[in-house]
Amino acid sequence: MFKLIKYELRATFLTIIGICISVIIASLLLMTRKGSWNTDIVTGLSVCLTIGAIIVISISSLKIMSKYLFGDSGYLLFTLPQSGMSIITSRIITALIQISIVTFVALLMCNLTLAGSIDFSYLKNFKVSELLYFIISYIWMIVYSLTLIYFCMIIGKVALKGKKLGKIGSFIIFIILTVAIGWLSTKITTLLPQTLNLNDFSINTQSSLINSNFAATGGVLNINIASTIFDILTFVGLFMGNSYLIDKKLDLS
Amino acid sequence: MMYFQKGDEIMDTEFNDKMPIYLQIMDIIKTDIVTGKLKLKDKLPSVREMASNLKVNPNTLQRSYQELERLGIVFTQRGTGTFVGEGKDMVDDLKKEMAKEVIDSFILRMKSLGFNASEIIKAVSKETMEVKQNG
Amino acid sequence: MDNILESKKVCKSYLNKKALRGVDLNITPGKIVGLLGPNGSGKTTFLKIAAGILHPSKGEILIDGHIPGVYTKSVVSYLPDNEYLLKWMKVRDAVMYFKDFYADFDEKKANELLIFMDLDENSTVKSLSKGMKEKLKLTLVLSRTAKLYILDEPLGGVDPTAREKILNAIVNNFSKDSSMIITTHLVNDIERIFDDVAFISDGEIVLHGNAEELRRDKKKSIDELYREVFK
Repeated sequence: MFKLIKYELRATFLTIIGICISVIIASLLLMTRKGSWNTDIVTGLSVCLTIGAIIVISISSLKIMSKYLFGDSGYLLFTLPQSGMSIITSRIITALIQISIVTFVALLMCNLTLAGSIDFSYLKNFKVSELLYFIISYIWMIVYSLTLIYFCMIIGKVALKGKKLGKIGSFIIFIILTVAIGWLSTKITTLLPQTLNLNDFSINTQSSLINSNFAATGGVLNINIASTIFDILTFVGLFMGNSYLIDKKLDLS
Repeated sequence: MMYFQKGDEIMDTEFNDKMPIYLQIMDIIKTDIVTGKLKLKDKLPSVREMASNLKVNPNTLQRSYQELERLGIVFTQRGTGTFVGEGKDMVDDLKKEMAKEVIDSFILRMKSLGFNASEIIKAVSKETMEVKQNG
Repeated sequence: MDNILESKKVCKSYLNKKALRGVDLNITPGKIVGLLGPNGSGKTTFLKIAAGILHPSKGEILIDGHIPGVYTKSVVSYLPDNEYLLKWMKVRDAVMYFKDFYADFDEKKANELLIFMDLDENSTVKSLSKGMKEKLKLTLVLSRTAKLYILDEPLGGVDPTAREKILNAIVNNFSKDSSMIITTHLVNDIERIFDDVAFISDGEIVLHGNAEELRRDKKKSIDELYREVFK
């Protein structure tokens, strides 16, 4: 599995560097304009740049999986003596690394452009547990989303024949699944509003409709127990599903 | 000198794919023994080497060697290789046997053209004379 | 002797067509088998099933006694018909890739084959001509000590000199413990290498036998037989 990660990172090395350099250059350009242009415009562009970079790397990462499933490079990957579990895990970890590198560089540049200097002192205002929570939530969000998207891609490929049909199918399934999961999650949160406070591990009841389990409201970290369990179960289901599909059902045309 | 070296004309052997190849390989080896290209007790190339040079399946070559061994023309020493036999009459016997094959099929063909026995002999004498005169 | 490949009534159906309609084929160790048929006959489909990247709709296929999966992929060396080499790699990288993932990869043999095929290990995959790519693919596949080699059109789109080298490499790779299954259109060039041949038409095996015996019995070359069967 680690070998897979190694090779995938090598393969996308240039892309990552390319995006980072573009962001850095664009940011530097923006900084030179800071004096002459409207502050709002500079801010706006900087934010757009950051978001743009993240979107580009995310799409690039998804395209890799798409090429495996619908293109020729899958012939090399899927004839390796690697289990489906190993393949999907390495793909997710690689994507996480790729996205994180670009996100970090982009945020750094945004910070630099807007604040004029790179200053991490504001981090001291946060508790260690809160920072940890933020990082874990970030990783969780990306891994979960990737697993879901890959699941839709694989199901699309398995269920429907043909490149175009497969991709359209994947997209439709993605919409359906996202809506279904979201709806179920909301239902569960409303039915079982018990939350767990991560600071003191007390159990409260929060009648909030915001079931996002990474919303840290005013420094108090509350996660809805039921929806978290639901999310974890869904994730495990999708992940195992990916592994199973790759091993037993995937047909390369 | 090693038999079946890469530079040999044998390399460009045109096999007739309509006939079993192992038989054709046997013929080549028998012919070479008769003409003296292969001497008694000479070592034949390994199955693998010969197969590679001729670009045929090694199993085919193996069969040729096995058949030749069965006929007593070659013998195999485990671990060392396959060698041409030692029988001093072997070359003569082979020569006669191969000649018989050629003559038999020649006679059959001539007969199908309508020649009778004495006509065949006359034609052969005449042709042999001409070949002798023309060198 | 245990079969390296055992296929019992393997079927593969798609929505609108039946690619394989019950293929029975057994291959014992030490054999080179030719799977011959025109485009669309199902030969690539069958090979992909053996390679583990396609799953049969019905029937059973066993490689070294196992259902296609992680184990069979480790003992099967597959040469697909398409361009599957990663474009960012150099020849050296491709060799290292195979070495990393396949325990049975013989680096020494790979280096010898690269020299034999006139391939420079520092060239990028992108810069290679079609013929050179084929030679590289074959180098990688034959440098493994696999139990079953599956070669899908190894001579396709390659000039005669390259073909010579490829055929040579294939014959030299022969071993009593492993087998090869090869598909090709160019029956003429390669028929002497086959032990057995199987003619596949429309998803079924229509003729199967030992090449030499077929030559003796039918008094035709395999190439002629092929033309006859697939008129």
